[in-house]
Amino acid sequence: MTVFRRLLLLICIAGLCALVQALIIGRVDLSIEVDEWGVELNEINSWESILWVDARSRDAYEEMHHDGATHLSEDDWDTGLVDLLMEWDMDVPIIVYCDGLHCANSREIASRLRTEIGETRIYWLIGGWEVLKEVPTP
Amino acid sequence: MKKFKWLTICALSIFFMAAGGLKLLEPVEFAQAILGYQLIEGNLAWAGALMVPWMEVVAAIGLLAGRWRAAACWLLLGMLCFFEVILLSALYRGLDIDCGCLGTNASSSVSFALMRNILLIAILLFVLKINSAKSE
Repeated sequence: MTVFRRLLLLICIAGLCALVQALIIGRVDLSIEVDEWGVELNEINSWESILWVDARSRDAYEEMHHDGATHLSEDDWDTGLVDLLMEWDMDVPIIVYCDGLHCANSREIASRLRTEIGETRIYWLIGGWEVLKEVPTP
Repeated sequence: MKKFKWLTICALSIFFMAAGGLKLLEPVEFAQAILGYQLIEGNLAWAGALMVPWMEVVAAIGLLAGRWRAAACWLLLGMLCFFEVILLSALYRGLDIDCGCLGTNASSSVSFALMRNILLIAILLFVLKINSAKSE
């Protein structure tokens, strides 16, 4: 048997195993789990003022970010936190966003901020930058 | 040399067995990681989340079986090259995501995964070379 035939056979075996697993598992829900801290863009339209926190990579932030957003990521937490605290008016809620619907950074950063600052009005944006970039900036 | 060859093959096999096995334990989480790349939607991501780990496991077993080694190497090489393209596209788009390569419990960045895959490609090419030398 040639290498090519064996290669095709390996793919078929893998496909068969995957099919059996799919039949065993059945239907799955790939939608993300939204906890109490997740907010939709239309929910926050009425909020007067928001401090936006960009939890994407530094490069992505520097290329483009939401108007007035400050950068904060796990990689440069200390510097980012100082910048954030300097920007933050304590009456203003904080919303963290990352790349899109399936990134976890915004949830993690929002959770860490709630623990470290002790402020409860720190949320993460469902849909992240993917939905926020469509919003026209003033 | 024979000992070194076997050690290399066993290490590769264990690595891909673990990579596939870890993802098979958490298929939904792996599908979420695939969706994080923002390239494909739900059903396709779910199909990939089931197919990719099994291909890794099957290829890992194939590496240990003499006659199947070359086919397993080519399968893994194809997969790794495909992953490199996807990882490069994520890097190009500035996505700050976990690569999902070893399941959700062993997180690694996209840039680290890119470098690791290059190393794996080099090792697979080496195995392919000594395997073809032996068959000649």
